Amino acid sequence: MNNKENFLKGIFSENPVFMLVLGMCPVLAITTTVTNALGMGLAFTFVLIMSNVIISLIRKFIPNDIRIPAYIVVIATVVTIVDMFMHAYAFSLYESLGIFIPLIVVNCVVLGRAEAFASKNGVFASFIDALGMGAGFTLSITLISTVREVLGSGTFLGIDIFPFDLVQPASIFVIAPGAFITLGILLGIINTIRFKRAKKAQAKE
Amino acid sequence: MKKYIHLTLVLFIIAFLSGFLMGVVNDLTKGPIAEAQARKLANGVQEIFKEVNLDALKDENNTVKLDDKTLIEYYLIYNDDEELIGYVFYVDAPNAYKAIQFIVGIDINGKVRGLSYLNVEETPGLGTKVKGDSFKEDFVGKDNVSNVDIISGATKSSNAVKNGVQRALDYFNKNLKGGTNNEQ
Amino acid sequence: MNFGQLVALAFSAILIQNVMLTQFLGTCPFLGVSKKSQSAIGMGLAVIFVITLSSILTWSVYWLVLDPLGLEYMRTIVFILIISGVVQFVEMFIKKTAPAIYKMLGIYLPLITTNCAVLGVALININKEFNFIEMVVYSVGISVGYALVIYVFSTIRERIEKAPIPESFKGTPIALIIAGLMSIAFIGFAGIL
Repeated sequence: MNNKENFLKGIFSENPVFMLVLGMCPVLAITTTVTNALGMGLAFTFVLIMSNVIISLIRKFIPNDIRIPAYIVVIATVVTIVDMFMHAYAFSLYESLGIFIPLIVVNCVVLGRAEAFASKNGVFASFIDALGMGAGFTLSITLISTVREVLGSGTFLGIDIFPFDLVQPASIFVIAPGAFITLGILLGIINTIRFKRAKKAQAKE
Repeated sequence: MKKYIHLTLVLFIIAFLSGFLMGVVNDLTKGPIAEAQARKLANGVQEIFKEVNLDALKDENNTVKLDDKTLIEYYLIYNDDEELIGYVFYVDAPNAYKAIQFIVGIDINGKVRGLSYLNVEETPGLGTKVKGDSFKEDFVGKDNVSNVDIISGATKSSNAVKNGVQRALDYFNKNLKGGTNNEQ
Repeated sequence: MNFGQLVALAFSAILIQNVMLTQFLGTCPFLGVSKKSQSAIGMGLAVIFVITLSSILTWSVYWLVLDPLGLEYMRTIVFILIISGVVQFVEMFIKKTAPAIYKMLGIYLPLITTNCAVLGVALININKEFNFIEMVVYSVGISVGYALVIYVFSTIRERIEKAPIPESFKGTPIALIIAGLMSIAFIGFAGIL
């Protein structure tokens, strides 16, 4: 597998949100506005890159029996550091993401990549893997939050896109039920496209 | 046995390094975090009283802590000529275990000057409607807020804000009116 | 806090602030272990057990050790280690003392370490500055709410197995839409308190 494939798999074939359906908590909770989603995506990507690189660096020193606790300590350290920096330099973003920053620690995607990829591969490959996964995650939650913000608040990145109250926003999209329903329908649409493509490919053969 | 010593040692080294790193970052960010918090309060106060003297706000003698779960503390607000122009109350409005923290400014005549939110932990799109300008402006200039219209879809949150403002006004009328009997 | 307020807190933790349907914590096991009602019961009971125990431990460690020493910033790492320790300990303890319960819960226990509801509740307990009794009431309430919702959800999923759903919506997409509808129903509880 070359670097390009390694990077692109995180966005398409192994997209953590739409393909693997992992780490759903932040995906549902913080996609109320595009700004929040971008902030979360950046924090998440940074944690993923740091933890993948560090774990790949120290993978040869860690005995197999204690690898999971060791990975958890590394991830929790990176998350705490990100948490403190965001508190200091991105105060309002920190407040709107709330406990979902420390909860990156228990996100299945981060530990999953450490266990499945970084513990077996070199530093650069692990870096590319994390970059791809982070980009896939960020793009996915940006898509979900765009749907929710446009339909639910009538804004995009906080800018009113329906001037003069032409369209009344449906606030169900920004509250809890809207998160589940939006993600469910988007997953359904993506599955439809996927199945059609698979059929076409089969017909060609 | 040797294996267990090895395992413990490795885990200990990792934990030690991570603790060390976190301590360093904590020292680095402690100052900026406190600053960001203070700046948020100062910005809120300035939004309400445009003529505020921000240096006076920093003076700890101008902050009075209250023994109350809703009214946390109030600040004496001075203008540049060091005249007392009003008070700002820090209100933690209880609302079914979701927090709304805001500050409300009251001028020395007992009229609401305005309010500014510090933390609204609310359902986005519903409870957060209390942040809207028209709701905030409804309070301005009133000495009794019982007739402020609540927002549909945010009934509880707007009631929580209303009650908080009324509590601040009641406290002002009881203890601070006249502005001279303040011996703090 | 008097008795009435504690009842209100418990009620609000179970239904109004339902950890799954309104706070989105613990979504992965919610979608993963809810295909059969039998396994949903097992997961629900394990969650009640672990959340209550780990909340008590993390709350005590935070206020008795971390806060006096000024080490609040270490809370995430300390909490996650306590939680994985609790899970391991509970697993060993049940295996030795109650093999029958172990048979029912055993395979769900390791999954709980990555259930963000556990760490989430531990952090919320600190953020809201609960006292000991409030913390216990809130944690039990939250976990009972989680168990309740995952059980109800699994019974719906068992029925929907037989329904004619479009191919591309089978599995997770339809499960998410059901969760959305349940969440709408739970919003109705907010009017009670």
